[in-house]
Amino acid sequence: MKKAARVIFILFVIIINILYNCCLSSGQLFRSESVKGTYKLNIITSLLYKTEVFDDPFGDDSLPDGGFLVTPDGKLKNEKGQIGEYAYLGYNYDEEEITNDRYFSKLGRRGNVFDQDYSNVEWQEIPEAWNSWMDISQNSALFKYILTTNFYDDDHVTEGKTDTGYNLLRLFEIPEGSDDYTEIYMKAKVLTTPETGSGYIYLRYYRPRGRFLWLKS
Amino acid sequence: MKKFLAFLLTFLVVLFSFPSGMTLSHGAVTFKDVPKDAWFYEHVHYVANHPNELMVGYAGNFGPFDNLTVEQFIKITVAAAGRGVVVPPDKYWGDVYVPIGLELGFVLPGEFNDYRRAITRAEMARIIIRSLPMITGEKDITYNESDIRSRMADYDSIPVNLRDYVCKAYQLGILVGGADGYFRPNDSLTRASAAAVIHKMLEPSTRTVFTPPEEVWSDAEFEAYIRENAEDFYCIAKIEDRKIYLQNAVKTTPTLLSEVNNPSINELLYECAKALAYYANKNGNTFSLGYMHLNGGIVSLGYHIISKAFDPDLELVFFAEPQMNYFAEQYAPGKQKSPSYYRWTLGALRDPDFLSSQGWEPGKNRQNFVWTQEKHEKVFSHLCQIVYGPSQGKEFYDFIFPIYLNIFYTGGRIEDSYFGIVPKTGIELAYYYSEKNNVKVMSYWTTKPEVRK
Repeated sequence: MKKAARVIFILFVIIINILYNCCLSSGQLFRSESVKGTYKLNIITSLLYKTEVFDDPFGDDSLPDGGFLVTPDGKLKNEKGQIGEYAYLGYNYDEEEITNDRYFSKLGRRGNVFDQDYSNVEWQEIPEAWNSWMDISQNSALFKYILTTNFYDDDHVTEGKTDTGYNLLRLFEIPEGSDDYTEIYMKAKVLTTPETGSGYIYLRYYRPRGRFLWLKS
Repeated sequence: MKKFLAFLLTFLVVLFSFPSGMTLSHGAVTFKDVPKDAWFYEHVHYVANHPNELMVGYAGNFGPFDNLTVEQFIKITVAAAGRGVVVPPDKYWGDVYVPIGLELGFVLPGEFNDYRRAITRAEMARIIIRSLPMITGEKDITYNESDIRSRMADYDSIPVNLRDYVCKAYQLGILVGGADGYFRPNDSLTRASAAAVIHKMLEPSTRTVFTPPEEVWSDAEFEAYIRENAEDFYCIAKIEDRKIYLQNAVKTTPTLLSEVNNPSINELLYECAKALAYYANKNGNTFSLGYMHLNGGIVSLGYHIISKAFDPDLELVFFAEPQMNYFAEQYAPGKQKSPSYYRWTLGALRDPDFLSSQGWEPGKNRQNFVWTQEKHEKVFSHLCQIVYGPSQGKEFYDFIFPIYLNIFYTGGRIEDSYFGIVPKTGIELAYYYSEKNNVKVMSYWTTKPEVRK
């Protein structure tokens, strides 16, 4: 019988120390409003999180603590003046919600999804994933860095405290010397490239039966 | 008895003051053979309800597929010029109107041996141009004959003595021919087509005016630009014989896109890249080219209004192996019939401060603001004409642009999709947009035309 059909997502974090200029700190222009003009640029959130963010951060009543987690090292304040992290930073230029990894990673549900060697996972294709590699393929250094840098993963047994010992080449078992990265292009969607500090990669898998998962969707 | 005859006469006058075949519905004339969803409906509605009674029907029908005769068109132009007359009951209307047409100079003696035969398109052009000064005041129409010749596949079949009239009518967008590039000067017109022509003749805003794309760089200028900015175009390995050889971080051997499915793909890529580089340079924007060595090759051409740091504001993707629209596959499976060769993704075709400078704030009435800028629309329009051909490209642009613009007017809060042929192009468009399903990117997938026209 097929595994549960529900599609869920995980977020990988690649911690980058590479010498790419931060576009936000290098005088890069921000756009003043989102694509359809619905939201204004939030310059404070954009600078705090080093990415272009429109409108104010927000929570969601269906999420734990209403989507606002009180934490002393949080970057945001809620209406009550409490310091913490909202579940959503705001919207990106295309007016899609931007999830706040700092909120989700602080929920404490760490390390209980993936085995040490990811042997319990069946990665799924993300139809538009190849598109996210288009820009990266123009930059040889960046491309190689993303493929070969060990990533961090909160849902791995390492709980995001250390890197997982895996990079994308190893995760997808690309033979040494091969330049056929089709599987990576089809299954790993690059959300943000490391120029801004950290890179985020989106992978998708079917939920194995009987496991408890908390994942953003 | 006299009273009865007077009453009968009055009754008949009133009865026959309505041209036969018309139906008055809420004050507007309608016809049984002109359904509301017919392409010619609005044109027939216009001519049949014009105060000068330009065209009328018969026996409740308009006869949209009947041929238009010479005398009918003379009558229409005379009426449009405000010189319509009441035809005495003992006279045939054509015998009244043709002399008026001759008197006004719309036709000259000896030009027609038979006024009751079907009129050709070229002959129609002559009457149009002669009558326009009296109807709309338009005269001294200039045109570029070599330009029109280059766009009209059958230019040489226009009778020499009618070419000047055809060029003028073509230039004005009144008689433009088909999307296939053929004018068909010696063909007759159906009454439906004639209604469309007359509508355009009398209402300049409805005309199909062809604006040729801007003259962009020469090949040498484009290639010099790429050489001088080579560090910005990592994926361009080299250019030879008007073909762009591609490379990327993995595929470092210069490679052309596969031409198995689309023999013109490399030629089109070159032309589109040249146009984009030209506009980006001219407008102070940025042009990008990305290459993925998947499925025979995928190339993304990007036009960035700010800089390459952001996704392109206008992106054209070439698929060497045609692909299905993945959003459509997911949310509207089976609707897309053929895989796509091209994908357009549009962001905001405006400078960053364009809206703010108009005083725009979220919450204001969106209809009161201009959402895109002409200089950026022009880039999109030009690319469409390269990819699909001048006529079909224009038809595609005219079809898709209002759909795209509507997203701004509605603030993106719409569910919209289209799966089917774009009228007059033969191009299948697959487009799916859904706020509910979080498909918010404005991307349009199309097949390629059989022939670029």
